[in-house]
Amino acid sequence: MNVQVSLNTPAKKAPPAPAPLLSLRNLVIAKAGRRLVDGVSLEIAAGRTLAVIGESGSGKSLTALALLGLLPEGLDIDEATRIAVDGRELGPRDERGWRALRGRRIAMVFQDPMACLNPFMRVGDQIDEALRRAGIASRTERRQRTAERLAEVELPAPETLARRYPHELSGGQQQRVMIAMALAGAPDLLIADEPTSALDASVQAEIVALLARLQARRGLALLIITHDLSVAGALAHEVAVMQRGRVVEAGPAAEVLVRPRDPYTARLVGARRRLDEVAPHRPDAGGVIVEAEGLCVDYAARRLFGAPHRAVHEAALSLVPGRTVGLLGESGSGKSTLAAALAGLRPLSAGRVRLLGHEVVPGGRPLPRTLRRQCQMVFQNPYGALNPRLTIGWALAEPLALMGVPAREREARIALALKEVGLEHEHAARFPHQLSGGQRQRACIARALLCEPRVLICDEVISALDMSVKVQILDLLRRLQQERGFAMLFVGHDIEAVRWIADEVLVMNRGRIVERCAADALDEAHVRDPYTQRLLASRLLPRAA
Amino acid sequence: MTLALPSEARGTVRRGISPRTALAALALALIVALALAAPLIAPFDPLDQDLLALNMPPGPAHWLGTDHMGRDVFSRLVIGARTTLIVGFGGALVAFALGAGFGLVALSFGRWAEAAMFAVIDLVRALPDVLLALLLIVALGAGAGPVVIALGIAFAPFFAYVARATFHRESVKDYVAAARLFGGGRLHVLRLHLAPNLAGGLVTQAAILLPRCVVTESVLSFLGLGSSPDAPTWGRMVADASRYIEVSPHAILAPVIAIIVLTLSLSILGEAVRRGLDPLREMRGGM
Repeated sequence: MNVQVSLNTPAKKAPPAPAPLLSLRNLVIAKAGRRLVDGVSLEIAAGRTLAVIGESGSGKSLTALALLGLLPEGLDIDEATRIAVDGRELGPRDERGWRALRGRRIAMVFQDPMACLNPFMRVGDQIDEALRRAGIASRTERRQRTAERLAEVELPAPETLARRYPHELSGGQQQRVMIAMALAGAPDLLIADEPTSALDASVQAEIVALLARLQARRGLALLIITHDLSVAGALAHEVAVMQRGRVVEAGPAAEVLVRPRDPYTARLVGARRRLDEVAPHRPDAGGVIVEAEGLCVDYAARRLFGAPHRAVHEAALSLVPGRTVGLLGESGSGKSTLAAALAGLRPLSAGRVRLLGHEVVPGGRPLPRTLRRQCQMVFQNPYGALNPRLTIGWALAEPLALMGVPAREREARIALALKEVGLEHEHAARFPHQLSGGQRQRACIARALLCEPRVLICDEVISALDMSVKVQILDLLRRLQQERGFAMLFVGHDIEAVRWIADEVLVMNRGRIVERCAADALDEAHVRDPYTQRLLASRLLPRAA
Repeated sequence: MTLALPSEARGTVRRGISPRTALAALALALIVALALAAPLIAPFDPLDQDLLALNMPPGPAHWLGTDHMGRDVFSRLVIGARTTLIVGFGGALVAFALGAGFGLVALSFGRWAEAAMFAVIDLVRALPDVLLALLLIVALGAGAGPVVIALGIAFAPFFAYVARATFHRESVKDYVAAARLFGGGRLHVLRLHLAPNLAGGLVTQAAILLPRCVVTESVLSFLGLGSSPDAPTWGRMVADASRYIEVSPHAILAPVIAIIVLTLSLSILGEAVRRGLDPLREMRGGM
């Protein structure tokens, strides 16, 4: 299905509408006969924002690269593909033609700024280089423009900042520098491929706001590639939803994201809405099985005689069977360290943890093996949590063997565990890389469940997954908890997800728990802590049309 | 199912062999065949000196010519292949067994044992390998057996380092953290998670060290402490002929080319085996 995105396609007798800034017709990209992008057509008018939405493997990033003539070697582009800038056609492999446009008419911002900035160059010099490429010969003029660009992307003290190296900047500042570089040649179209996906929620909101302001100020056209519907909703006038290399639905953002017609789009939109529902409140039945008090965790000093870095300050929390505590925080807040300390994977520096009747104190006896097994953890990256050289069946046999389950019983229990998390028996014979991200995470959950845990710690378990898969995993965790009644600590940075699954929410900032409240009271009206207020305020709202 | 190495985990699914790998295998097979059949195909005694035919260029009588003492180069090459291969494979094998064994024992007894045992390995490594081999041969006596043992000890640290590096790389992985939560100790991690990940690195290391053993043996031969006082090896042939390189370049070219072919084919085969052991090779692109 090829859907025209721009609504002002020139009709025959209507007054001649201006040619779209960029138009792409029938893009087909194939590798070894397999079509990765299959007949995508897009149009972007000057000053408008188009969001291309899709999950991993949908072909959205390849489409973006094609719009810059940057497709990697070894991909076949169909001959019927037409790309035109300002109505002038360009071959997809016309390197000379594209080079004249790149940076001056079209510029790009990538997902991971740290990987795109040269770590050995001061950021000011990198912008300077971009300006030189854009044809500004005078050195003093370039220096002045560098400061202007840095100010334009709302970075404080541009002169000092220009002398810094990329690693001295935060992720948000790095992305701002990337945007400043992209703006060096005063382009008319900015392509941003997942510009905020590597950033924390509050920083994400700032970058999105910055992009919107830049567009208003410069009349930029924006093409946003994203998997995140809220980013698309906050920025886009028009959206195109991609699935398996095809555009399945396209139209005005306010229309598509609110009343989707295509079943796939409906599933994506539904998944997000699902998390807005308020879950029934579960009563606190009592019977605390994990209790932490004054828990502190230090990281060893980098230098000899240096002071150790305290990652967690005096955390206190308690877990109750059948209930979930959500631990919300941004990267570097110490939430994962706290989770690892509770699971016994990291030694305490101060405080104590009572876990299933056993008391853990700094320097004291570690948890006995049988108890350690009852407190299981599911990790953020399911790929790292499964040995790539062992099949899923072997990975699941590991805890059983360690528990002393006889070999003949293992197969049946593995089959049962796979079924419980919604996998098939045949998955047992596969290697981790032969499964999708969601399936891998299910396998990790199945493996943790084989230990019959009474406590389950989930550390960012959904953040590496696509939106629709996230909701499935959340559903699965909640169902398993209802069936098995384990206590759960759910660590995450996604406010909606944490609120949906948790009964009680703790917010962490710089190693301290700054807020604790019931999940249904996690809104601007109820929270008291200023940091939590800021976090809640950073949620993205749909763009006013 | 038991918790030994699963056969699927070895990932030996065949997926066709590249022409490069096939060529390397062919070359190695040819060298081994020549070495085995050497007494049958060698036209002369490798030690026979024909003083009327010194430094003869290749011709119908002497296929690869003769050296400065009038010995037939071809005969010396194929007879010498035997000792060369024994020393090369033997040295690498002994180094593999000693290094990997010592390293794994050091790793299985906890942090302190690891630090102490690897200090010993560092000590061995601190001596230049030729010097160490010389000392050992002086102690053990000359001959092919002592040379193999000396080379094995001199090169064992490489395998121990590979084992240790792999262990520490793997032990920060989440699946090792998960194994600890299941109640698994250091030994369990070594057996289930380290062993399969180690195979590739050790094979690669062996493929690198085998040619080094051949070359080091030649250095020892050059110093008069090689595997055999009079029987030829490739290394010894290079050393002997190097002084006459201007008058008879063919006498040095033949063993040099033989060493290059052996080294190259071993590296290519080692790389192919390492890739074959890698379950992710489909994702990282073909061989």
